Amino acid sequence: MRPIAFLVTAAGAVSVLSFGIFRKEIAEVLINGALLCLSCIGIG
Amino acid sequence: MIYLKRRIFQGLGTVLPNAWLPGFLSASLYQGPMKGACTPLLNCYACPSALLSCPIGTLQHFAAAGNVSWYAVGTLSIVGASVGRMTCGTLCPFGALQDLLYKFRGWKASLPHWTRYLRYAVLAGLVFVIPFLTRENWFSKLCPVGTLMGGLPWVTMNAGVRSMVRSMFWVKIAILLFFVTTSTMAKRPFCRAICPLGAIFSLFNKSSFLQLAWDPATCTRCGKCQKICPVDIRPDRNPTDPDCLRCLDCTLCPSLKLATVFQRQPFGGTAFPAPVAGSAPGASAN
Repeated sequence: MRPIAFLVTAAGAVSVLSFGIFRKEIAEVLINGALLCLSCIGIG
Repeated sequence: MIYLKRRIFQGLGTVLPNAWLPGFLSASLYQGPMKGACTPLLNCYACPSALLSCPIGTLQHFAAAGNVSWYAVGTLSIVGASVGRMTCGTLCPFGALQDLLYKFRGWKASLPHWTRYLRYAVLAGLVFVIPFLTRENWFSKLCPVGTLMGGLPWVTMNAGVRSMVRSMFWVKIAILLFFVTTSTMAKRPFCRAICPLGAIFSLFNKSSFLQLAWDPATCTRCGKCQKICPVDIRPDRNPTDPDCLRCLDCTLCPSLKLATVFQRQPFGGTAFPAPVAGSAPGASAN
């Protein structure tokens, strides 16, 4: 069962990642990461 | 040797994602293309030297915008499907700090069993539901890793940031001090009870490509594996325990080894173990 579970999970993970890349989410992640997160440093 | 290798990997896991040293010199953030990638670690992207983005911060940012980051979910799922929680055990900087703090001599305690379920509540509540409802990054507001890697450097280096410090910063400092103190008494309290990234990766431990294999034929159930385990579990009772960090410290014992999900007989003569927790002779519920 475990090899099948791994293969299904891996295929699902690649599909989800591909969908995210297709939606151009990397650009939003980049912009969000490039801005100083005020919540992280405790003043936002 | 395994122990030393893990310390080297933990050092690399701390230095490499935070290798943009000009950030500390010029008090500025790295804004290049690598910030578009999510690190599979709880590594604050507000750290002046951070090269990569925090996956939990990314998930929260999308949740606060009423959206789902399929890119972050996919990235974490690929890492989880490959190695389970191994990045927690071998690379995470905050995990490494907790490992070191536990080496202090003094009073030691075990975390109650139920605390392992808190991290799923933190993941659901503070990373998805509450940010979605309030439009604010509530896990980041409370995250001790952000305080250590982002808050303290910025407040120390930048007078403008320092002038903006309010009560929330001191709440974050108190949370950081709480986990620093409790880490000297209990093994990895943050990873086991709170970390939402660990909660995500632990979902993959049972079906990941890399697995911990246990040989019931040679195991004497001496319990030494639990003593050296950084999260205080018994790998001989359940090698795919969701708490297992795959740090491989326990593979010092010849009854435990790293295998792949496709190996049916990782020890040669015995079948791939899939024991139910507490089913081993002499075992009791953890």
